[in-house]
Amino acid sequence: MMYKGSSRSGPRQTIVGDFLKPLNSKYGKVAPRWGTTPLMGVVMALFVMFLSIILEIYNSSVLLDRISMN
Amino acid sequence: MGLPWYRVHTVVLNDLGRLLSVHIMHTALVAGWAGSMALYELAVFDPSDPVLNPMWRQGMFVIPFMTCLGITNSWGSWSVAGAHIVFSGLCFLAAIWHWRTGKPSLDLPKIFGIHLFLLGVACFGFGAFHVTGLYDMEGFDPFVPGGIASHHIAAGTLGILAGLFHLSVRPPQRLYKGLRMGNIETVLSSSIVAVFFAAFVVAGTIYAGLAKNQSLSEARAGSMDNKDGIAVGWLGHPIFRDKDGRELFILSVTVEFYGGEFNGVSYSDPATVKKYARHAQLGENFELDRATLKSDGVFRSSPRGWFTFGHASFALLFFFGHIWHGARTLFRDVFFDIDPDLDAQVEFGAFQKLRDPTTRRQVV
Repeated sequence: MMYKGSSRSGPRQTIVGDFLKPLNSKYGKVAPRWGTTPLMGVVMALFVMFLSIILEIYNSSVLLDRISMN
Repeated sequence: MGLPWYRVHTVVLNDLGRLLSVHIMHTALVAGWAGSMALYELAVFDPSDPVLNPMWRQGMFVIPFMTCLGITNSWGSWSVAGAHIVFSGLCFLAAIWHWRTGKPSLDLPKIFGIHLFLLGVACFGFGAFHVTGLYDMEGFDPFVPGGIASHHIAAGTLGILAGLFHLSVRPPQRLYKGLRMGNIETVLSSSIVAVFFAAFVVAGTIYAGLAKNQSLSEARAGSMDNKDGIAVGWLGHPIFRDKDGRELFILSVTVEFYGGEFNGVSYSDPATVKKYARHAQLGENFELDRATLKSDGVFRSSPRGWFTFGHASFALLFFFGHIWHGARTLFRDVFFDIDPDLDAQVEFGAFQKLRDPTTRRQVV
């Protein structure tokens, strides 16, 4: 598709585009092999425990002295 | 030979400008619905009797949500409706602007990090503003466990921290390949998970009446005025006693009214007692004006019933949608080889020798 005022040398350059270009310059860049996956696993496990705790407090399956579900 | 009708939307798949455009257009429709619905309800809403003719008896749907968020007078409602319609119009124009073709590649993990950070800020801000009373709202006590303000402050903090993490750490190569993070359809598949999960949770809690302390009377009829009439008087609480003054419905029982228009009146004939017992099961006794709306006595399903049914149905459909798009993402190489001459492909496969890519079928 030919944009107005373009030569064949590539996509159109704009001032806003030049500001934003660094944000879309690292396509496909990855950390090697498994990276921080174990950390992600630990965080997921902690999050599941957190959700279970707040659910059971709200459900009154876990009773705490300072919190009353009336 | 064009695409079959059930594949026409695939034209936006490999064209991210147009993909964005259709999403913005959808947002325009959503906001436009909200503004239009608010306009309609404001046009027919009768606020004169909030006790006997409250909004939920008039079949109002979005006005209760606006009230919950702090809109307490009509000027607030009209401006909210107007704002949604203006926003919808701007989204419409933005959708047209983005309807341009090109094949950029997007750094999806970076986009995720930016969006998560901004969403965290917005979420935290919502919670904080409701604590400080920027919207002048009661019911947003931050120290109520499970409360709205406290949740948003906590979730917003988590979003900001996680957003900063994802902006500074690139995804591991194993996860990038395993989840196909270079392909936009993986974003679609995981977004669908969020939607169906939310729909199941919300259908369940509305069904059980846990959300926002709903009472069972909301489960009766939709535009209830159209069913049994506009309530104009309260008859009073019926108290059922047997002849020894015990309040149990055994053999000979009387009904006496306490408060309201029938205050002090009692009946002992069985037919009348049973009539008021039956009415008491459905809720408070009211004198009803059936003439104004020509109320027809037909039971209408309640907003709560429609909500539960609709959300459970959509949740099921979205679950299937997640499986579909997830499978397409993970097995893209298999899907990718489907060509217009579908029958031959489906029956005999992409490769002429099973699993042998060197024997790929050539398109004639």
